[in-house]
Amino acid sequence: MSREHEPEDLAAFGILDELAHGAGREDTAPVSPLEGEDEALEVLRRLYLEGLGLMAYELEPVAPRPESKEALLAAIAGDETQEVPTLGALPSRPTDPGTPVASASERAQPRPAPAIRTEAPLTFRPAATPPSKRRWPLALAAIFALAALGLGIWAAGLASEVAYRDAQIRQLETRLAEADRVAAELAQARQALTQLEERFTFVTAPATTVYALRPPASGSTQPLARGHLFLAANQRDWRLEVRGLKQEPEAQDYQLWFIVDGLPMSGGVFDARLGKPAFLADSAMPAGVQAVAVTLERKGGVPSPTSPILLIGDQSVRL
Amino acid sequence: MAFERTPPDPMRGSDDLALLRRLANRRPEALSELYDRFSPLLLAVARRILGSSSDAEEILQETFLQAWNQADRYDSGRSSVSTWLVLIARSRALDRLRQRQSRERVAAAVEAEPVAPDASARLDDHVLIQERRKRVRTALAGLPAEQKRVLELSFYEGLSQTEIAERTATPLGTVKTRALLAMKKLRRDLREEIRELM
Repeated sequence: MSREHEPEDLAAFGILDELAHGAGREDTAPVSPLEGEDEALEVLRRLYLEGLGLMAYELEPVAPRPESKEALLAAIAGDETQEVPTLGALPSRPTDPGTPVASASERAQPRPAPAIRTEAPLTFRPAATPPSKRRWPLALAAIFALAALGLGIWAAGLASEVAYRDAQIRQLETRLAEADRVAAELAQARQALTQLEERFTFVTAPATTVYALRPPASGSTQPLARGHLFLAANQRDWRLEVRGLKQEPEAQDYQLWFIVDGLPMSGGVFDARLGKPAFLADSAMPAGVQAVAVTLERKGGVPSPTSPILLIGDQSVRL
Repeated sequence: MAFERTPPDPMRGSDDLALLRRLANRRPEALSELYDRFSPLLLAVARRILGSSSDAEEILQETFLQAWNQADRYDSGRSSVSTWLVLIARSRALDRLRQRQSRERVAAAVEAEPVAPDASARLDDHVLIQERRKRVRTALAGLPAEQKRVLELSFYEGLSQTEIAERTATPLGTVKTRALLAMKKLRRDLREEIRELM
């Protein structure tokens, strides 16, 4: 039977798909968000992505050549407001190591400016007014005040950023815990499903013998109770399923009996819960069973029945 | 080389983020700092994929130029700065690899070329990266070989799960199971590292 993928699995597969389809390419968003993506899925996706990204740290770091950085900075020099379209401005690498090639910084150098004239023509300018000696302390104070203000703003921004990140982490942890809880519930549901599948397989297997249990014709205190006892083809494994029995008193248990040669042999005790089926199973069906019956007995069971029969099945059908 | 001694920053993710904001404001010194911080890691990724040192350095250049041009498109909600840059470098290196029309591994070339020690990193960067590297190596070493192989084929060779199944002659379902188990274990074992990045 195929199973549905958990959200966790979907997130992991989503990341692997993104990696296979070029996450990080220039013409795409760094990691493209999915339309209408579920928040929990998004959190899981992020966790998996970071986990994979960390794989790179396994590698031994490699220092690039110093001129590599120079070339990069030269390429963007003067382009603080424009996109740098290509690497055309970068120096190509020498094909022959012996051939000297101008370094990136050399290439990035602007053309030499014309020689500066050392003998400028004399001109008369009005003498500059000397700054007031009283002004510089004020200017210095203003600079300090501005610097302090800037630092304060920066610190406040940083604190706000840290608080935001902390809140985000707490939120992610909460979601992760929720995802784990859902996963645990799913595991329980799967376990229940497995048990159901086992029961289904057992009761529908070829050559299974079925005893139908009903209240005796002479009457019963629980006329609505019904049950089936399934006996496997090996004539040893059996399962009892009963519905409609009232919950037994605290000091009592329901007890199953196999009738062999007219004598009752205990098949074990079980509990009943109102509205829920009761089960009992074992792998030791005695040979020569003629009928099965259920009575209400002392807690833990008794060697032979002491109370009226509530259910009896003396006819069996082989599937 | 003189190291600038500063205490390790536990909030490195925020630190990176602030740096990228400056980059988005077209500050060349931010690119310089980002380069100092990440170039050894990204060059290692490019070399792991391409093998060739010269090709890898070109990819490194392209990666930082893309970061320069697209810093304003970076979304901190989707990935950490480190992962964003690693993915750019990885993607460009894989594209270059495909351009060569060969997926032939060049591991031998990598081994043949001496790996220069990462002397450009500041001391605190160096310590942080080494600690992180140790933990990541431990986590990856804890994976069964076949699970690690699936992750490596996906990450460093850009193969889809179907392609991995073909390459390793393994049923697709098995590949998926291995990938899932490996990713879940990594997520658990690197929980603290991931938290630092986020």
